[in-house]
Amino acid sequence: MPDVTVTIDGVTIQVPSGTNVVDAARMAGVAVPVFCYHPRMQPVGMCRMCLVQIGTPRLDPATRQPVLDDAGRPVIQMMPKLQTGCTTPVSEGMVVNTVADEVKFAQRGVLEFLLTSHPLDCPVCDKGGECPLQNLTMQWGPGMSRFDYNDKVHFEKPVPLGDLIYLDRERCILCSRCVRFQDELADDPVLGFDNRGRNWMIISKSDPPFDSKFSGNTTDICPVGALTSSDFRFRARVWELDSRPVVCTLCPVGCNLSLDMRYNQLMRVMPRENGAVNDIWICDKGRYGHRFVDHESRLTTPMLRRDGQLVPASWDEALALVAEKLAAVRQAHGGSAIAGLAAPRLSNEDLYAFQKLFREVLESNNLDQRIGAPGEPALDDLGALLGPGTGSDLAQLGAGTTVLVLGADPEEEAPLYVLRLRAMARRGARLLVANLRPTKLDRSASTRLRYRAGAELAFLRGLLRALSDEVGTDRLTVKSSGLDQLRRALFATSLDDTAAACGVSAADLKAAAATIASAEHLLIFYGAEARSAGPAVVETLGALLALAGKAGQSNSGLIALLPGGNSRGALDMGVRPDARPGYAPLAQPTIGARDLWNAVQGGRVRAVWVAGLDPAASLPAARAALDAAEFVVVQDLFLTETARLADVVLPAASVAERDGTYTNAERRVQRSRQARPPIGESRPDWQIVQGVAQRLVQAWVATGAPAVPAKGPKDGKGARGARGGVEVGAVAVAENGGWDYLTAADVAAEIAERVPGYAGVTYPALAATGKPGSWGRQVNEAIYYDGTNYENTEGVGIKLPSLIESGRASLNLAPLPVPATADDRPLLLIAQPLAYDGDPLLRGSRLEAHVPEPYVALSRADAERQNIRPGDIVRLASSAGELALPARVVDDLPQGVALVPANLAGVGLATVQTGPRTRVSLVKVVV
Amino acid sequence: MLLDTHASEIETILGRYASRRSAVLPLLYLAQDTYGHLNDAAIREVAAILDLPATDVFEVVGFYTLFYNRPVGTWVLQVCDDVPCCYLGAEELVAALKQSLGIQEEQTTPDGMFTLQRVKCLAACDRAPVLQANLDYVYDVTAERVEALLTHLRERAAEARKRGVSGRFAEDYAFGADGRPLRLEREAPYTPRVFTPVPPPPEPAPMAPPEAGTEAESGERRVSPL
Repeated sequence: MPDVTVTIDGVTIQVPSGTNVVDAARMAGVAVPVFCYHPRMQPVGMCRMCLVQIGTPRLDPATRQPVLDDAGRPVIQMMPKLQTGCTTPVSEGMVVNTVADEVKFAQRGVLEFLLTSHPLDCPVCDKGGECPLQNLTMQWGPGMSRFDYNDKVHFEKPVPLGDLIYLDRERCILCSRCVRFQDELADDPVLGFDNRGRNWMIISKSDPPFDSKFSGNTTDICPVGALTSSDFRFRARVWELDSRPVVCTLCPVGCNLSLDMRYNQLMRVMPRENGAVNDIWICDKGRYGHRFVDHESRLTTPMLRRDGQLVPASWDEALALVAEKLAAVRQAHGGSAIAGLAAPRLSNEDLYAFQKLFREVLESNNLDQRIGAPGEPALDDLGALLGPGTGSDLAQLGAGTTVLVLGADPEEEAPLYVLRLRAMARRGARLLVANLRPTKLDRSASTRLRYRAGAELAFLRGLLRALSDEVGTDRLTVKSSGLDQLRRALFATSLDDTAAACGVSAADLKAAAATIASAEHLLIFYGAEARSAGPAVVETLGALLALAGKAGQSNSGLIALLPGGNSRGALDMGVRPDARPGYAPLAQPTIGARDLWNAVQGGRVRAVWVAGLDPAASLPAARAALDAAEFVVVQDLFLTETARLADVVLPAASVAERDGTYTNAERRVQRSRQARPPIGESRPDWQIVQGVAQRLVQAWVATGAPAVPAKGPKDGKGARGARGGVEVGAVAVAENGGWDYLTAADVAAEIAERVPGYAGVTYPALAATGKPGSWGRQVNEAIYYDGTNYENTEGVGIKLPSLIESGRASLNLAPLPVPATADDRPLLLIAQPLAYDGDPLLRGSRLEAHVPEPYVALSRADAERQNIRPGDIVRLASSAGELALPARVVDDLPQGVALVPANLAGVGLATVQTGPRTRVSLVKVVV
Repeated sequence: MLLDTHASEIETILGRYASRRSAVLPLLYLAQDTYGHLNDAAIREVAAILDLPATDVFEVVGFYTLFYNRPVGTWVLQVCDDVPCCYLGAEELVAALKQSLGIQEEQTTPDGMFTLQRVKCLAACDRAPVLQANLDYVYDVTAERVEALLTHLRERAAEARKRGVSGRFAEDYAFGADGRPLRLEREAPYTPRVFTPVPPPPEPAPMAPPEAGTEAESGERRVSPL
């Protein structure tokens, strides 16, 4: 957009056309106070705080040319009344005066009015200390009010808007920031105004009230203390809080958080601005779901099984026992008799150390990040191979970008992506949402495509066919193979036949393909629903990206929504049975989680180490196998079902208690800092792993037993000794086989050195990514955003290059064979990921009340056929087993699909599933 | 459910508008007339029919005073107490209604027949004092005509229940020569009222409250000093 020259308080600057006066003034270093205006939302001019004097050059009515004065300068005609700066766009030659007496008089008047019924309860108000009303009154307001204190209007308070947010009507200045956030940004229009005049009040009448995954953000942007967070109310004064920069591990978005600590207690969770990841927002799961950190059920000491009972022990005893037992198993049965499972929420350092212990010390490749449930889809490689290229930044994308969201429910799988996708769409990106059932994102889509359940592959082949009709294959520039096979598969059927097979018309396919072909940037998000349809679907998405010519390019790529906060990191670190770190495939397939429990029962695996996962809770086979295993080690935050079966339980430090790096879905590596010392004797996972590794190495050096492959000692430990509790003695490197990390930074330095793609991702490099954005609590910034979020001092993280970009891999376009299914049961059972599910990390949080009871969701047609009403118990039967659940009847679910929440405690989905998708029959249980 | 009982009417209403949400006011009136007032369930029902967020519909109901979100009587009497009506006896009218019905403003009689409200200008100042009974205009309601009016309204209770409180089919009433309210034709041409000049009183009136019944001559009206 062309720049416009404006003069604000004597400062002449050029700003983009369309900028409003408040923002333009800010660019000129002039603060215009605001309450209702928020730079992320449309201005409404409700609070009148930004009144300024505005003048424009007088135009000669005849010539439409500016009238010049004697000195040759344009004559400025001031508008007769003050204007609201937030709703006035700048124009060429505009002159703005924000310090005139008239303006000051108006500002004092507005504040005096806003304060007429304000309760002035700052000493007990949560917002006190970071309150725009407080700060603006100090700077711009009158010292005294002419209104009688006794005339203040009083209301009943607090009014719970939901169970997470409380409203104080007396403090509310009715700026509608919260209402507009919910309408414009979150697309959860659940807030509104009731009544009018003095009785105007915010209401929420959704069912349940304030039904939004982003409700907590309204407390941040509330410019007064009207909206308060139920889990922070009256808990602390904000000036007592120490904000510690942490990365959220509850989903793969990797939002930047501030854990606001008072001494060592977590008081609240706030967003930390990072334009490339979460902007200034976080979802409620991140905000409310970190109470596990302080939960009373956290493990505090190592425990050993003695006489069938788990009893507390010292770390020395526990680590020595683990080392001894693992060494014995390896001695007797070889390394392949040991298997390890590590949660995809652990940090890169933990996961790297974990696999290093297995691969280099125990010589076992039996690693996985899954638990071996039948519903788990194949591991996702394509999100790394074809991930968004170097320099990608979702915040920069708008017009010219096409985003395809296939088979995903971002609101449940990675909530913050809803805000990011909507922001891109608002800036002009085309949003294609394709799925087999409606999701909330459909409302924001520019094109909605509904394919038939089970016809994902046909749909994508149709899309690919239409795309290749449009642009051919010339745009395919990346290293690839199998184009001919792909072409044969695509042209085997006509587009019309494919369209008929997938239920999306040929015209719609062509239109979508044209949108994809014309895009400057192409992002493809895919989630659990897409991945459950099999690897061929994801492969075809890769082909789509490659044929569109966007593979390996900046701001274009595949983004997989995987379960687990560091799922991409776990894949990168090679916590998997089929590849080493950096996706280097293994020649020999080893025992992954799916085969593990049988292998344990069959005696091929004798010892199992589980870090942060709880297979026993949902898998009867795992429970039986762990019971039967010779030796089981569990390291976790809690005494999980699996831990109860363990021989040794090791207490791990939570994300708040240790340093670490996490790789998000877009493959951006971000650093999380320690916010408090570990609870009890708990230790960071990598330290636990190192403790065992050192003992094993020393034992083998001492006995001259199997040589440990001596990988060269690492160097470049830039951040050594920077932080972190350390009690490992100084031992010679050679003696320790490379297990002498003092801090997480040392592990990160080794990752940077040894994991392909992570070169240069060290703690100093992460810290050097700078302070992003212009927000946060900075000097003189109170005018917009005090209390909104916190300055990001940790940098924006490092975006890893995609594998294809780095030239280390090539793309196989040959279509994968699709296994035929012979099961003719009528319904397709799909596990539905929910944000508020049985995740043990939600314990202690207010979100526990939002976790639904188990259910199976049925379409109205399917329910009516069998006379099933909501609440009726139905039995689902597959070739694997049966499951009885109460029914929910969902209007917009397509016929032939049944949804059961994934990962909900007590559902027992594993008993009925035969794979990520299961054919089931349905019977109503008559009691 | 409205969709079961008023399907064709809803269809007609929706057909009048280009977008569904535009039909929110007529549908709320329909719901109010069907259920007597707009309770939580009724508002949600309208929201569901229009595919609107429930909160949006609650906002509309909260904003407009003619949507009753609390139970009201068969007849909602809305007495104008704005300036012209006040000059012509609105306060006396309100007092007479309160006394006759035994309720205060914003209350409903125990038999559920009448709810009394004060409102501002009803845009019929030339026929003041004015009240609306379920939006039926009643003109020239002086305090002494209250009993006649209430009797008349009680007689029409069944009709009121059928039509609902919203006044979608509202009519106009004035008092006939017999002192009973008389329905006026809506489409009748406007006839300005003829004012009979009242000769000035022979001597200043004594400072005493006006006695009820002294101005019983029907058809004749006190004339405002203005």
